[in-house]
Amino acid sequence: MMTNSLFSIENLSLRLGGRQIYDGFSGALPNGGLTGIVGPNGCGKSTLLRCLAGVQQPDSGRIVFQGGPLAGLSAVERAQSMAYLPQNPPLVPDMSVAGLVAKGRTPWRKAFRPLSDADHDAIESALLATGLSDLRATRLSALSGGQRQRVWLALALAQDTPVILLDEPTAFLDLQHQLSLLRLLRQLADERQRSIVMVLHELTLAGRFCDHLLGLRDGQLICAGPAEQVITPDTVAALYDLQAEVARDPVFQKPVVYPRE
Amino acid sequence: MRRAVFLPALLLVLVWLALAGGRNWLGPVALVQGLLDRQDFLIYGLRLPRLLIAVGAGMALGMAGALMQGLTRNPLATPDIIGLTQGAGLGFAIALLMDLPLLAGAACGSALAVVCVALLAQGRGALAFVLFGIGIGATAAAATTVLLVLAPDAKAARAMIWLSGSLARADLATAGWVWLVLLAGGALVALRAHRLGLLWLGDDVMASLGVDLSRMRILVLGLVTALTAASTLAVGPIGFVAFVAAPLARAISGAEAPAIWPAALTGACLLVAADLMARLIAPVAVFPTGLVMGVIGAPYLIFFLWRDRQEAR
Repeated sequence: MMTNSLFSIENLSLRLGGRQIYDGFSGALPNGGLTGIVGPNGCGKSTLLRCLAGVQQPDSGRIVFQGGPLAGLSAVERAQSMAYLPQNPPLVPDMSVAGLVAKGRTPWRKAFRPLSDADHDAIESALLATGLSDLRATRLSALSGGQRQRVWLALALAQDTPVILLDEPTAFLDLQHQLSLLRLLRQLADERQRSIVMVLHELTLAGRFCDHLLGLRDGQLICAGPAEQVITPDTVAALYDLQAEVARDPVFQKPVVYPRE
Repeated sequence: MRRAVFLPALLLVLVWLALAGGRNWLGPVALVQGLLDRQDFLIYGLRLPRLLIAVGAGMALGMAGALMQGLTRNPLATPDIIGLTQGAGLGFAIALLMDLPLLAGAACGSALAVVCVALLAQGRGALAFVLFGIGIGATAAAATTVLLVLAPDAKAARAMIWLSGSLARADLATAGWVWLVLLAGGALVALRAHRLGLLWLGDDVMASLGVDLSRMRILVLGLVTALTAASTLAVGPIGFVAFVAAPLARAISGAEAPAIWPAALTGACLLVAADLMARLIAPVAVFPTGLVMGVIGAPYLIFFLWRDRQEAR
């Protein structure tokens, strides 16, 4: 087991809705950079992220976060260490973009105090990073699905945590916005030393942007390691039952999957 | 910003009207004179207790409604619709018949109702919460009626007036209880304002923003139970105030959900206005304020369901 891991998961078991999601799952996620969790639908990748975020309690097993047990953190301590963006953010009553993003500051706020300067700075930079500065006063109901997705990302960024967990952040986005979002996350990891863990669907995007990948299937860890080592014809077959070639793309020299079927 | 001052201003106007208006209208001079004279029966004996109760109970109901709607993420899940008010009514009736403390009776009744609803609806989703709540409410209301039919006449008569939601028997002691609970609840809401602002965002988002979910549920349900019990003690099981207050407050003031304070102000405005109307419609007879709220609230419930259906399409 890695000693400098961000998360290490020991013997995790979880049953949900009569289905055994994990039966003794173990693994580790490295500190820093972008880590992608990939795998077929229903393999337990979203649930893994929920367990790491502390919003889902495992039946048994232990999650160690930065050297200490995750369960030992209070809700506020956890929220000051990691932000989590669920796959389907809830439908909320109509409010302004800035109003929703400001709620990301909750774990840092003290009772009876208005938003501090630090709060305003974090909200501004989250809005700027997600390209929402001009839409701050717009109501959520007036936004497109993709814009709304970016508002939720801005909320997670405003939380200003060293660790950010994202469940399929590129869903509902067109290709151009998928790329700009992943570039933004890359930048946060490279320039501001954030550790970002995300569930991704697209193997090609995952290979292009992630430093590290975990491949899950049926609640089992199939493969883990640097993206170039994880995306191979063997692992694609093991994860998806798919015969495929893997080659480097001509621009970035990153692995691209070419299905043979 | 201008929209934000509208509700407090409206409440002030209504407060003035409630003190000045009625069978005998008081001009501004007479009103000030009456307020300065502690012996003035019309002000201190009749209108002020009634007003204090209407404002206090209205605020309590508005807050309770906004909190409950936010916690369940369901505009239908307010204390008057999911049986808390009716539970408080049953508790009140039992306490009245057995000569127990009335506030304690109402509080136990609403607490029992919320526990029953929560246990029955556990893990079945938001709609089950509302449906079981309606069932519990109907059961409690029926049990209250049975109790009163069997009760001695004098007590039954008092309970019947109270059950219809009348403020005619208002006294300063009851007003004191309502305000005590309201101020304590308001202080807790202010202390936890940032967390409570996350209501409506759902469990996952709340948990990831540092909210301890079980403590939050206990806080909100406890507040709702106490506020409902206090207001029910004072004005009887008046419906619809808690249900319409928060959505109306958001529409009027433009406040963002959960809009707890605007909902409290709107609840107070509604109840003061309804009570004023009740007094103007029937100055001599005891015309129940709850009836006025029913006349306003019931069509709104139908409108709400109709509009909700339209939006769902």
